[in-house]
Order: sequence, then C-alpha cells, then structure tokens
Amino acid sequence: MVRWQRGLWLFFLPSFGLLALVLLWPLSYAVYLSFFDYYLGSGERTFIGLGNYVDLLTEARLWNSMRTTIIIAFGSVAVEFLVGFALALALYRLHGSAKVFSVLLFLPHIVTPVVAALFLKWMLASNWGFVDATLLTFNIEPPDWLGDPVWAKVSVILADAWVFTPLVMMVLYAALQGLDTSLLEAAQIDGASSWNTLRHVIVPALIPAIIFVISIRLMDVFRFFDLIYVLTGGGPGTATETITIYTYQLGFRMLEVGKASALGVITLIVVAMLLLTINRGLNKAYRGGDR
Amino acid sequence: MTNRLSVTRKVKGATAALLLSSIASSAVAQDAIRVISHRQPALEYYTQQMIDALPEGRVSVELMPIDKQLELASITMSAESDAIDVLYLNDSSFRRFASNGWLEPIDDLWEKYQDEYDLDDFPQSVIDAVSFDGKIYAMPILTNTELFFYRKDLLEDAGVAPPQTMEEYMALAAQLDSARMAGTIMSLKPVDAALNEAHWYINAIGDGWFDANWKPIFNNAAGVEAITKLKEMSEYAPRGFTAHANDESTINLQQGLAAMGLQWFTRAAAMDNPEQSRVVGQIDWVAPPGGGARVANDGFAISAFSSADREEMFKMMAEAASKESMQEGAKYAMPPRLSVLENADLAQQYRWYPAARAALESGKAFPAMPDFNDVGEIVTRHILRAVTGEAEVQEALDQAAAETEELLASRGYYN
Amino acid sequence: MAPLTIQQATKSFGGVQVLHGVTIDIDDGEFVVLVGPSGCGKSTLLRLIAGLEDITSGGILIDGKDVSRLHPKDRDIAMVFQSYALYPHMTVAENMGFSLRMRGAKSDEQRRKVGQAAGILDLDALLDRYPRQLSGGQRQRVAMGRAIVRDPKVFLFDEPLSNLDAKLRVQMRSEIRTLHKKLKTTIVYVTHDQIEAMTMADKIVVMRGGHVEQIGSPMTLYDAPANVFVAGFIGSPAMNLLKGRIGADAQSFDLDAGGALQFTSALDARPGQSVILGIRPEDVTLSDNGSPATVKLIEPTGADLHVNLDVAGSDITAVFHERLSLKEGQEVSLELPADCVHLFDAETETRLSA
Repeated sequence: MVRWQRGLWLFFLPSFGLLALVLLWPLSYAVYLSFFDYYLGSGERTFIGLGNYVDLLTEARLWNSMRTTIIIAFGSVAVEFLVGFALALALYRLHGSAKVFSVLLFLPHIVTPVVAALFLKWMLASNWGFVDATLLTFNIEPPDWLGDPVWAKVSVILADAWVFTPLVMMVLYAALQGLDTSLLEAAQIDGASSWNTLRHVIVPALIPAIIFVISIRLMDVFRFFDLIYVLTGGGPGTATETITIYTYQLGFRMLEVGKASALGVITLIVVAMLLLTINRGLNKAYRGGDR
Repeated sequence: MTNRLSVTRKVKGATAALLLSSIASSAVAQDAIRVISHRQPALEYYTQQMIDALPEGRVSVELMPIDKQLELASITMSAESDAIDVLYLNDSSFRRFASNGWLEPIDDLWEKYQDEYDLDDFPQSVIDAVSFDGKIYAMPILTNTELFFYRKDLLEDAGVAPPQTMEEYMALAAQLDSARMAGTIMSLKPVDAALNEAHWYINAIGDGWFDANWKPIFNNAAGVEAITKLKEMSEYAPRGFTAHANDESTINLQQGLAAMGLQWFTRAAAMDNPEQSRVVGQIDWVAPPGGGARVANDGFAISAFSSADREEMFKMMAEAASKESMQEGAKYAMPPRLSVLENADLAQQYRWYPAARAALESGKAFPAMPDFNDVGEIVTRHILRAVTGEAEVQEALDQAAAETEELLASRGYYN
Repeated sequence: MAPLTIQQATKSFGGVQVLHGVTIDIDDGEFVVLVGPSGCGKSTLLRLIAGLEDITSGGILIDGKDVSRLHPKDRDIAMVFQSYALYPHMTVAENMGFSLRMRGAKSDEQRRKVGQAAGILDLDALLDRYPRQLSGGQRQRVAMGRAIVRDPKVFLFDEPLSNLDAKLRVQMRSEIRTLHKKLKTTIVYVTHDQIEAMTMADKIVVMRGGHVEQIGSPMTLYDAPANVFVAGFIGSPAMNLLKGRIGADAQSFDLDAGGALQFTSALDARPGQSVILGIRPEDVTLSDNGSPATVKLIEPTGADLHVNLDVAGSDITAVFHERLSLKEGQEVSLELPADCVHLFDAETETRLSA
C-alpha cells in the first residue's frame, strides 16, 4: 500500500458516522430489544433470549400476515407491471403534443402516498363515497370495498398500483427509448404482428429493465405500510394485515416493544433473502441475455 | 451604495423579527395547558367548559376519535414526554394508565377544594370508579350507558312493541331490513366500538369475558353462540359496518339509513338536532334487550409528566365538572353528580332519561382489569375475522382466547 | 425478381417536403444504387419502397402492382439495415427463419430454406451462434441471409457497409456483387460512397435535396455528367471545376479569379461565353508547352501521385500514374486536352449540349 493511501480512510468517518447514527445504532438497538420481553407500560425488561422469535414463528397470526403480505405484494406488482408496461408502450407510440398526457399520468406518483390513500378512502367509503354513490344511482349494489375481506385486499392492491404504476411506466418507457428502431422495422418487414413484435423483439430487449423494476417494486411493497394503514388499518379483522402492520400493532398499540423488534428483525431477514434471490436471478439473466 | 446597505439592514431586521416572534409564539404555546379528548357531543361540551374556565389562550384542546387519542396518549406517556397535560379516559383505559404510573394522583387537591366545588356531590361508587390502588386519579365528568335506539314510527306502523330480548331484536331487524334502510346499525370498528358491541352480545347471550381467575371464557359454547348471533345480525347492518364507529352509526340513524341499534346515551340528543337529523322526534329509547350492555364512567386525568401547574389544571377540571356545568351537560351525558341526577325535571326535559336509568340497572361495565383495551386489540380482530367469514367462529374465538391468555400471562395475571 | 417503378414519389414530414416528385424506372434484375450526400432523400426513398414510411403522393409499382398503400410484409421485399438489426436473443438460424415462422411455415420448411441461404453465404458453421458472438462481416452476412430466406421480388440495402472497416468493405462489395449474379434479383442499394456506386451498380441514381440529378450507368455518369453537381460527385479525386469565360480564340479560358488557361485545341463553346469548366485530375498531363503552374502539395498514394497545383491563381488537382520527382514550389507546365473538358452553363450549371 502506497503511503499516501493510508490516511484516506479518515475521509470515511463523517459519512460513516452519520450512517452509524441513523442506521446502525437503531438497528442494533432493535436487535438487542428483540431478546427481551418489554412492555412499555410497565417499563420493565426481562431477558428471554429467543423467546419472542419462537412465539412469533409458532403463531398463526404471523403466518397469516405473511400470507397476506405475499398476496398483496405479488398482486400489486403484477397489476403495476402489466398496466405500467401497457402505458409505456402506448406512450411510445404517441407523437408530439399527445405526450403531454405523460405528465398527467405521472401525477398519482407525485402525490404523497398518505394523501393518495386518504383520497382513495373517501372515494371508496360505503354509501357516500364517490364510487358507491355513482353505482347506487345506477341501482347496482356495490360490494363493501373496504369492509369485505376479499375486496379489502383488492382495494389495497389497486391503491398501491394507482400510486406506483407511473413509476413502472417511466422506467419501462425510458428503456423503450433505448430500443433500436431498426429492429422493430426488421420485424415489421418480416411480417411480425404487433403481438409477435412485442413477444419476440420488445420484451427480450427490455428484460434487464423489467427485472429491475419488478425487483425494486417487490422489495418496496413487502415493506408496505402507509397506504394500508390509512385505507383499512389492517382490517377488516386481519384481512389486510401485512407483516409491517402487525409490527405496528405490536409496537404502538400493544406496546410490546420486544416482540415488535423481533418481528422487525424477521422482516429484515425475509426482505434480505428476497433481495439475494433476485440478485442471483438478475445475474443469471444478464449473463444469458446479451453482451 | 447606500441603497444596498439599507436593503441588507432591512433583511437582517426582518429575519431577526421572524426568529424572535417564532420563539415568542412557541414560548406562549408551551405555556397553554394542552388537553386531548375523545370527540363526542358531551365531551365537546365539557372541553369547551374547560376552555371557558381559564383566561383566554390558557387552554388548548384537541379532539380526535378515541382509538387515536388512546394511541397518542400511550406513545406520549411511554416516552415520558410532557406534550400532553390533561387527557380524557374511560374506566377501562384509565386503569391501564394509572397502573403504568402515567397519571398524577389528585387526592390532596380533592381535599383542598372539597368545599369550594362541592366534591361530596359525587357518589362513592363514582369516586371508586376513578380511583386506583386507593388514590384518586381523575375528575369524573360523565356516566355513560349504551341505549337501544329505535324508530318508534316504523315500529308503530308494523304494530310491534320495542324488543325485550335478543331474539325479538333479531326478528325485528330482519323484518325492517330493506334495500333503502338497514335493519340495524352495527359498530364494529376496532377497537373501542367493536369491543362495545361485542360486550353486549357476550353478556346478553354469552357468559361474559373472564372467569374469576382472569382466564378467558368467551370462547365457550355460549360465547360462540353470542358471536354467531352477531355474525347473523350483521346481514341486516349497513354496508361498511366493519369500519363504523359511534360517529358513523349515529349518522346512519340520523339520516334514516338504519332502523334501530345500540348506541351511547351521549348520542341521544343528536337525534333531535334539526340541523343534522332527518328523524327529529321519531327516535325512542329502551334499555338494551337482554341487558349486559356497557356502562362507563369517564373522566379527565392529569399526566404524571406534565410540566404545567397542578392546581391550575385541577381548578380547570373542577370548573368544568361544577353543578352548573353539569346541569347543562345533562343533555349530552348522565351527570355523575347526585344533585343533578336526582332532578326530576330531567326526565321531562330529555326523553331518553327513563331508558337510561333502566339501562344503568341492567348494564355491565368492562372487566375491571388494566389490560382490557389490549385484550380488546386481540379479540376485536378475531371477532371481525369470524363476522366477515374469514374464519369459523369457534376457531377465531379459540385463537383469540389463546392469544389473550398469552398476553395476560406476560403481564403477570396468573402468578 | 421484378421490375420496380417509382412514379412521381413525394414525401413530406409535416411541413417539410423531403422528396420532390422522384421518378425512377428499374428493370427486372437490375442492381440500382441510390447515391448522394447526406440529407438528399435516398434513405427516405428506400424506406418508401419498403413501406416503412407512407408515401405522400405518387406511386410505387413492384411487378406492375401498386404497393404504395400496402404493409411492408405484403410488398414481397426484404431489407438489409445499416445496423444489421439482428434479433440479439435469437440464434443465427432463428434470425434467418423468423419471417418464415411469422408466416406459419413448418419447422422442416424453415430448416430447409435457412440451410439453403446459409449455404449461399457460407454461414453453415455459424447457425447456432448468437449475433453478439459474430464479427461485423459475419453479422452483415446473416442480415443478408435473413433477406434471402424471404425470397423477395426486390432486395433493399440501406448503407450496409458503412459500419465496416475499409478492407472488409472491399471484400463485402465483391460478395454482394457475386450474390446478385447468382440470385438475379432486383436490388436497390443506398450509399453515400460513390466508389461503391461505381463498382457495384448497373444503374446509378444521383440524388440531391430530394431531386434526382441524373440516372445512368456508371460510365455514362463518369464520362458525361449532366450537371456540375454530378460532375463533382462522381470520381475521386473530384473533378476540377473552374468558373470563367471562353477566350477570344476559343482555345484559351479566362478564369474569373484571374489568369488564363491554354488548351491544345478549340473548346466546344462560343468565345466570351460564361461557363464552368471541368477537367478530371487524371486527364491533366505534364508537357513542355502548356499552362504554367506551381506545385503546392504532393500526396503519394503508392499507386499514383496526387498533386495540388496553382494555376494562374486557381487550385487544380492532378493525378499522375507515373513516379515523378516533383518538389513543392516547383514550376511545371500542364497540358489540358480539350477533348477531356466538360463544359457547363455558368448559371444553370447544366451540361452544354454539343
């Protein structure tokens, strides 16, 4: 090592210090707390080792919330991807002034998710909400959007899609811009229909972008909180209770901080494993793709 | 040159003024006594009395739904912050907060101002309700009971008398249920509203919540029958009932969107409010069929971590709970003061008082344990799962009982 | 194999007109090169023939049938792109067979036709490779193979050799020529390189600014350019073009820039006429009693000698095929044969009719 390189690590310190303060310390404190039975009301902590983890992993409610999380996560990403891709393709075909619409399409994403959720909640409120009132004037009896266990999940999925589809659309649209138009023309001459062009030319070329956008959305939606909290609060019952909502219940409603920390650590591990799997998949796809 | 100098001076002056005013206003804001409360008509009245009790700007009040208020209070107190000075509590949450050491005992002030505010007027049972471990922690402000509201005009048209039993209630709700109007309201929003509604069924049809050793018994045969009936009844409830709390159910009754149901005494006056209600004079009351509906004693307590002046806060609460104030307030809630309650005029002035007196007899308070709200968090979620059909009633209640036992064990109930 | 007729084709993009009534007749089996500077409209015209752009007015007839409103896949054409446009995730065989697959052909028919085309282009060893594993020249051949599989009436080439290095370009030129001889299909070939045009074409179409400047065989364009533009475009190094006036005795030429040139015999124009005089560098020779000139720059290419000379104040380029020992600044004497001179009208820039 050259002498002048030795002092360089000092430049690390400020940002590392900030990172440690904001990220590492709360994280380690949470891990530390997860080994305690700690009810905030009594203020006493008793060390119980892996007791919280055992309790959680043998609990029906936790596995329920995992299942709900997976359903909502994959449902949301599927809707976002399909709609976002369709919109990106449509935008790609538009010319000039029609592209103004792309700004409008992006608006839902600019709104703060909580505000969007409040707005959607008013739209979906039973009897007096916009949707119900409209359907009732046509004498159609609407389902209980936020109160039926199945429809509540659908509403949550659609709410997330509403907020994040523009993002997916933007990423895929940007990827489409990089597409070699002569490929599309060659396909045209070769007699490929729109569907075939999509399947054989566009999608293969976009695979890196598609994988990227699906993986970041999946990771994000696993840690989904604000939209569900505002729309249904995890209800009705536990129909839309994801892992994060359950963690919130434990930590802030029941004040069982130890158990909540343990669930937080479990969530961290789950998302980390998801990340690693996606990463590996990404690598394989890239190596098998082009260049 | 001179122009630029004067501009910079002006800018500096303006910034300094801004800073000073912000400091000053925050100083003023810290001075005011901060009160948080559940939002319902009676409490709107009583918190207004608190504001009027002290000079202008000394009291700031925040009203919000009860679950949010309890959550805010819990988080603030557990952090031992002085952000809240005075807070509304009902009998179940009050016990929890007192046992956590989050409330300030007021015995000394109670004795000091006994004569000035005629504090003997409160019956011993009420003072007991706001005491914990031998100390007084709250100023009693209202006694509340659940009443059975019904549309007397619709019942007259059908030629039916108001229901006395749960079976009659169910039959009547089924009879009056139509596309335009639900047979009955149902308030199943977790935690508080759902707990109230379930409490009635668990007592009227079931055997109650716990046995003498605090072991859950709500998942026995009677309890399962109670929740099954609740589930069946929900077919006649307005759409969205799983998110309805007292506000929504009151509106449903006022707008003629439901024919009857269980609601609080404090909402009775709203039925005759011409600005909000379409059924003025058409609602009547009886004690909840089958009995066992909730009776509550609510009050305001002082935070143990408040930095405001104790005496000032006590005087504010005492003023709001004075005889004159409660005379007015009798319209919204049953006043705990004996002198006011025994006033015969009340029955004539307010049509719902006879039913309220009957409900007081047959009603039941929540189990006297500090952790009932936390139990409620568990139980209401599972009851909703059963009612919406996500799980079978027996299975949901069994799971709730298991989680409840686990919780109470961890809180030291079975030692 | 079919005759291709372009009738008064015009194309506008919005308010900008890019092609102004282009008419070209191409015979069955002819190799036609569209050549011209950037922006002359040659690529646009090719894309019109392919159907990748809609024609604004006019007609395109392939084998007598008007195809100007048809979808590209129905015009029975095949195109080789500048960037090859090979599908990156398909093998060479799949790339070549793609159009058959789209038409719903059975897999053995696909394999047969692909094998045929691969044989013609010597691609058999590469059929299972992916485009990213091929060199530029190989990719170009695959692109041609894909076009051959379609068995079209017309092949369209859009500057296919621009992305290749010089040596490869020469090799591919002859390969394309060979292919044409073998298949005898009509070819329309676009390039900006006039050497490609000269070496490959049966017929050259010179375009400028959306207009056709001249259509003819390579030699016709070389020997008798119709206007100044074609004269300066065809031939490398470019023809020397000088503005001036025919001298009184029709054997001399007064340059506008000053000075005069002497010719061996009389020029075919009226004395005093304002003309643009053109003479190719390779027609300039050294002699003892011609026009005086000074050597400015010598560029030996190995095979010939390119020399920049100053003649009476104007620049002239000459190409000599012998090894001469010239020095910069040297005074020499140039012979300018009158029969090698091209005369163009000074205003219209068109060739003076004989």
